[in-house]
Amino acid sequence: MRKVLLALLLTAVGLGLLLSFKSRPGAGTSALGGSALSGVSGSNGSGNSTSTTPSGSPSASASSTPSAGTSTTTTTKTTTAKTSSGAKSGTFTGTSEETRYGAVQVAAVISGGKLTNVTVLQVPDNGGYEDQIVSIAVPELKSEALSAQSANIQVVSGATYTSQGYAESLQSALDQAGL
Amino acid sequence: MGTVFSVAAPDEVGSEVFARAWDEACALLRRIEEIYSPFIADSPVSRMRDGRFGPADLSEQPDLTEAEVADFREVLGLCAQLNRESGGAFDAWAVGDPPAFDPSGAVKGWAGERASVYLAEHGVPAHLLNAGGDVRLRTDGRASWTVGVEDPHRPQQILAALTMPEGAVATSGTRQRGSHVWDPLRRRPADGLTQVTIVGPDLALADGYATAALALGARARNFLVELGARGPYQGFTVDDEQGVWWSEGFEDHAPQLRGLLSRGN
Repeated sequence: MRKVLLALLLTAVGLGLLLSFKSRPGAGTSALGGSALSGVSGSNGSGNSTSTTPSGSPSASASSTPSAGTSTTTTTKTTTAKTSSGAKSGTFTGTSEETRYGAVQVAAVISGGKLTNVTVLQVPDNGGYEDQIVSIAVPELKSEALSAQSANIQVVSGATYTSQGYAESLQSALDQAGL
Repeated sequence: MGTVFSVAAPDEVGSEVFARAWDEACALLRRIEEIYSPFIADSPVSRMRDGRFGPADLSEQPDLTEAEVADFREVLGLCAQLNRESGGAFDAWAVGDPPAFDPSGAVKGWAGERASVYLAEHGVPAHLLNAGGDVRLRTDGRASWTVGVEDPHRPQQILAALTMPEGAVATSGTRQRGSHVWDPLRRRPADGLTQVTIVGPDLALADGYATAALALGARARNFLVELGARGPYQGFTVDDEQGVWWSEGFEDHAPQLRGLLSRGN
């Protein structure tokens, strides 16, 4: 299963844009899980650069910037293919995978035959746990600051990407998309 | 191991330089997988795990170059360092039941660090490398990246935002790789912590410390307090019952957290 998944994921990513580096709202978290330890290669596409500002740009919130240097607005490159063969576009919802902890489900966003985003729809939760975190530990953070889709967050560090069920759900979404 | 690597770099790098450097870094990563994957039946790690050879015989292995032997020794040294510093909570030689050799808890971060170094030396000095949720960042000092710490229970939500120009953010969770993190001290799956995030200069050490802390579970805080007091590696934990905690030094990277935790001393 793993090897098959590897081949398909590499194909998908070779065609697709692995991202979490978009600045506009709606960007999801990056990275795909489930393939064997492997690099992702692909040539750079043209015209696909997105505007991502490392913090320090004028539009950043009041969160502090360690360096006092001039802010630079940069566009970031990500691995992406030059050509897109298929015209498939849309959001493909993967199967809900049952794990010992609960259900994991992701959706794959395809644009012009390329994988452009992976959205996590379900992870196993812990009931009222989330209220506890917010009320006990971080009461002053506003809800929008907690969103991974905040314009100021370039990447999310987490364990979801390699969690059980994530790869299976993603694979089923890619299967539906024909990638 | 189930890790996908991705990278982003500022536009001024240049397409060809970026593509070539990344292709070459990917070749490095594929070779690392061939050597260190316990899922490949006859990889050197699998052979070492089966007892077909030991560390003293590394240079005699026909499928390892001299440079790869040196790297392997570096990985073993890293495992030894992590074992020592974590009081045995990280033990690459005692993973699973029955205990066996599996350096994966350190290799993922080590591989990411190597890939990042390669990129920096081949025309991509500023970049954001994502190794399956562990992140290595470099800039030229003029700007910072912002990294979110994932909420393990709410998709698309974060618990904290780290702002840093340079360094590593490694997160280990109990749901990684579809199985428990192993606690070698109690010879059973680790419990007590759902997720640990370590921020610090080097991804190999950050990844190893995150793995060790997860294995320590409810006993991780002392370890992380000491780690944070004696050096640059700071931790953020999510536990099964009480919510979140972080070391004091963690607040240097996430100032929005200052003053939110009451501390005993």
